[in-house]
Amino acid sequence: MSDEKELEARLRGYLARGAARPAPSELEARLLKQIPAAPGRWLPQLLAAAAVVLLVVGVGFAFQNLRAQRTVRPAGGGVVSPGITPTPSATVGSTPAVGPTASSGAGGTLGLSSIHMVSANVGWATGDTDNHVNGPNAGVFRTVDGGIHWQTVTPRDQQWVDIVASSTQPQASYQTTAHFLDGERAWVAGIITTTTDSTVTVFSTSDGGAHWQAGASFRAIQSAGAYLDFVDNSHGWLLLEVHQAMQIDRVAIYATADGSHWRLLTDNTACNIDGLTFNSDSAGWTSSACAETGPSVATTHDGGRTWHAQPLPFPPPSVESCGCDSFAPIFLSASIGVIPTNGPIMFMTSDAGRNWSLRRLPARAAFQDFVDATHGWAVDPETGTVYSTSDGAHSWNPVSTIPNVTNVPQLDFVDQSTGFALRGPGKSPLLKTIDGGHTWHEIQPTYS
Amino acid sequence: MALEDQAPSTDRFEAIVRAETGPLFGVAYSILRDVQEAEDAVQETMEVAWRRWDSLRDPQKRGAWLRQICVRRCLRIHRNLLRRSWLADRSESAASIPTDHDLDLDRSFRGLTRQQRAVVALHYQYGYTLDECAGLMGCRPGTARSHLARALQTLREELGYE
Repeated sequence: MSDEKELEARLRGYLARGAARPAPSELEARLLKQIPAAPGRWLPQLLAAAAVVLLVVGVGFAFQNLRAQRTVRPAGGGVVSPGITPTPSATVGSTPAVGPTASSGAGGTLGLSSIHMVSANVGWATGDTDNHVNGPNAGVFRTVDGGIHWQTVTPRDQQWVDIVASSTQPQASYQTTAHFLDGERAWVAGIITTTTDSTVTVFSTSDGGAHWQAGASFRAIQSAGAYLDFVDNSHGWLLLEVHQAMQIDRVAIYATADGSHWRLLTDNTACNIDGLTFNSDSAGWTSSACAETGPSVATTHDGGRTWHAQPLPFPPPSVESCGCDSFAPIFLSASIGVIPTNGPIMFMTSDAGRNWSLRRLPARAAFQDFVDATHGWAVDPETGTVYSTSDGAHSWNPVSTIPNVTNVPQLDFVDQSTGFALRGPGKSPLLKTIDGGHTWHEIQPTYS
Repeated sequence: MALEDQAPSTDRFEAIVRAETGPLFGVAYSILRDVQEAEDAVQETMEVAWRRWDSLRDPQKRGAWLRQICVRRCLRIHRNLLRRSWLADRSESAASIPTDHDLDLDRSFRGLTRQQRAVVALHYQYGYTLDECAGLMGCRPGTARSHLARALQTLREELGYE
């Protein structure tokens, strides 16, 4: 038996013994005893009292609320205001791209996996459509009407088209990752995964996805993670899992200074594969999802040639654990930046990332998004409670609740008032706020 | 959907506690390797489940829903030495002492980060794909993959498989 299989067998045996460990006998009894003290025991009485109050108050508001179709209730202190589902618009200003995902235009159901709005009306998204031509979450979409209608602008990957046409590789799949610089300029990495490896091709557009330029291709591991970042038309970076030996990801970083020719900067073994951010042609960061010392990032000051860990001010795991991972920084200006996490902490810088300060959030508030140094939002992925801050994350207040959030919700604000939210990847409606997150209106996105 | 699935009665919730405590404890212990912390995770899971029962849209997915809550609790339980001292009279307060006969693997596994232990346990013991692990843990697939790769690398190094 090889070392690899021996370790796996040993590990499986160890895990099976742990999973089979019986719960302490008193645990179940203790849980049963606590049920009477749970809030739910008060629920019938509470509901009865609330019903009486609502009946009285409700009569007064009944006529005013007739127009309301959906209501999102603030979590604390906010004003409950009804939202009206916008009517989808059929007018889109850009020309459809010629590509495998271009549909008949009938406008089916669109499942968004991520959104990147650059203004209240214009934005990009990745996701999936009903036809699954490219594969789950392989589509690239653009909206010019605030997310109501999305134009399919997925670049045509000729190699993928050939694979689909030949049907010689039924196991092959297609994914995309993207970097959107503004409303017109974007780069997409098309990832074709076969039974042996992946081929990653970088596409670029400067006209909102109407036309794409196919660029360099890279060989990568199966189902490779790929992350793109550009600071302008010319200077960009590609972080790619290029090799996998003994299940160790080797991460390569390529750079371009002219937008089309790429050179390998480093292929050191690393596990920092969850994001890449540059805020100049020399200074960049990767998220460090494997840090043993708590959340951290790796940083470069020479354009990506050399990297070193940049510890973040968080107590070591022996003292405190946030149970969270840091994401790649988001720079709101040359000097102001945020490192979001999927836990109740985050980090901010006001000196271009040289120093980061810890900010704590309410328990379970995560997936932070900021529009400037002071105004930000976060969401509790379990309850959907949305929190906002207006003092640089020093204090947070619950402002609303997004019902039925899933595991990885996304907030995307474009200014202090207007923002968008995804409950999570999938075919759930897009949510939009125009009052800083106090109320949310559902949009059922369509595509063509 | 039955009404009783939307609003659990005390009796129904007691039945759920009886049915799910054991499996949830198994998940929690697989990740935490500490009886007290696993008990805390299960207790918090049940508390959250009781409070948020109306958010369970598909009763058929109750088990998966509880497991997701439990994994999240496991990742966020903070060691609280003062509280642990108050709990010292629990019958199994010393249960964090390694009890597995594979002492070397047990020592190395306990040295992994909580996220690494979670993805290893969910992937190898419970058969979740890495995308599913990421969903359960509330992180991105790339992050889950990183945690698994790093965990395996650490185990290989410490157990002499390189």
